[in-house]
Amino acid sequence: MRTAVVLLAVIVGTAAPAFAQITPCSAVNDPSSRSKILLDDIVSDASLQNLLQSLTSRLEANLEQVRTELGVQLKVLPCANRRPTGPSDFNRTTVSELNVRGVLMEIWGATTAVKDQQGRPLNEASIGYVIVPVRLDELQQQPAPGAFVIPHRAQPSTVVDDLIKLVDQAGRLGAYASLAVGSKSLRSSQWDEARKQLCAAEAQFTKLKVPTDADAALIKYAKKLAGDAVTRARADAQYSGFLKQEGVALSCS
Amino acid sequence: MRLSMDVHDTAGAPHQVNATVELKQAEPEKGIDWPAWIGAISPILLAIVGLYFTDTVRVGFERQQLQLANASGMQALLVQLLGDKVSQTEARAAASTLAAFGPPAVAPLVTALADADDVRTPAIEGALRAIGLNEPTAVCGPLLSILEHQTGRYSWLMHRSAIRVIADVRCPQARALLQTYKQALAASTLKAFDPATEEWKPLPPEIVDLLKADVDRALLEPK
Repeated sequence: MRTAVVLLAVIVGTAAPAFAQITPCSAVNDPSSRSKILLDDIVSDASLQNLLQSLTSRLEANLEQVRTELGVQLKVLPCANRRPTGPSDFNRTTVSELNVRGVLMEIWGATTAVKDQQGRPLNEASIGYVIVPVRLDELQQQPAPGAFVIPHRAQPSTVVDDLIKLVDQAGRLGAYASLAVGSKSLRSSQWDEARKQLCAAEAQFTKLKVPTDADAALIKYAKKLAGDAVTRARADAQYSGFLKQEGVALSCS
Repeated sequence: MRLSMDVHDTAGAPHQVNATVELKQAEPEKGIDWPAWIGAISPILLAIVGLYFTDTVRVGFERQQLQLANASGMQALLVQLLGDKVSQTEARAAASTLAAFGPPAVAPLVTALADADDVRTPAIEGALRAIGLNEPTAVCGPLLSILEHQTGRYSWLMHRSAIRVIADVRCPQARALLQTYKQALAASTLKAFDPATEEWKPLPPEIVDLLKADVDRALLEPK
């Protein structure tokens, strides 16, 4: 009987999806920061190495910009050899472990040569995002997506810089980072910070030139959480900040 | 033997008294014949004692062989589990196979938990749960010991894993310790080592909240 239980446990333990490629990253356990953004490996075809380097440096620059603008002690940490295959890698267990280690967001990417419906060759740069606090809510039946991939395509004749401009994520990254910080602050009952970051996220989302379906859902989510911050602050007997004032509306604008 | 005796009464009339005296030889004592017994039993005793010592030595030797075999068998799995490039699937497979070794795998798994990250922690916790289903005492002992040390020697992440596994395995006598731990959380007496300043610092409120949630969940488990 005991042997059977152990064997069953072994079988259940090894029956995990075979496609997961999230590998350890020492930065995840970095105790010096409780607000981290992980930048994973960018996977690339051998022929697209120049695109890979440009994309990596652009993402790093974007993240640095976000870190400066957000006004939060944010740490951007590289995770070499970590290559998530898609949003499904970020299951409840993984996201929960990232959350307790203070990871707010993880970004990964891939550049590949693909073909369109007419069979014409295209270069594709896909950027994957997981916004950890949002993903946690998503896995508890909150409809807003917390992990998704945004593909950017261009003709091979397009110069690399033009594709990189398409991929430029400063605005989008800023919105996602604000949303992550705001959502996390809300969980830890820091109502003022939550409200501030969630309203900032909403404003940045509305500025996006080409919002995706995920962005549209995330704007609604940010609005809802910003309202929740006010409601919960008013219900908190220990809180005595400005959100308790009568003039503060639920909506940001 | 028969005896005959002539006696005279006070009037001087002779009488004859006949009596029979039987003389019997004393019977020998009915005790245990120890020398005979010892003579008979000593070969059997010698055989039993010999067998006992032979068995003890054999069991000890086999135990050592088993420990050596366990260590050799676990080594490759630990190398895989602790490797830099282990994927979630590989970590889970290695940890689950380690669990099949049973109680001897507890010590290396708990040690591995000290540096475990988002990839290895779920795998190691799963393996400890699997062992704990069969051998709760083998798992509960070390994990309760980790929780007892609240000075920051063990990281709060290790405490968190210990609390979760203790709850799942339903360790006996864990409730009192968990309640003490909960009180320590409420009193903010738990500390963490800050490598930047090399000082013990109280846990941040955010981490205290995370641990509280796990302790509350563990205390909800029926014991």
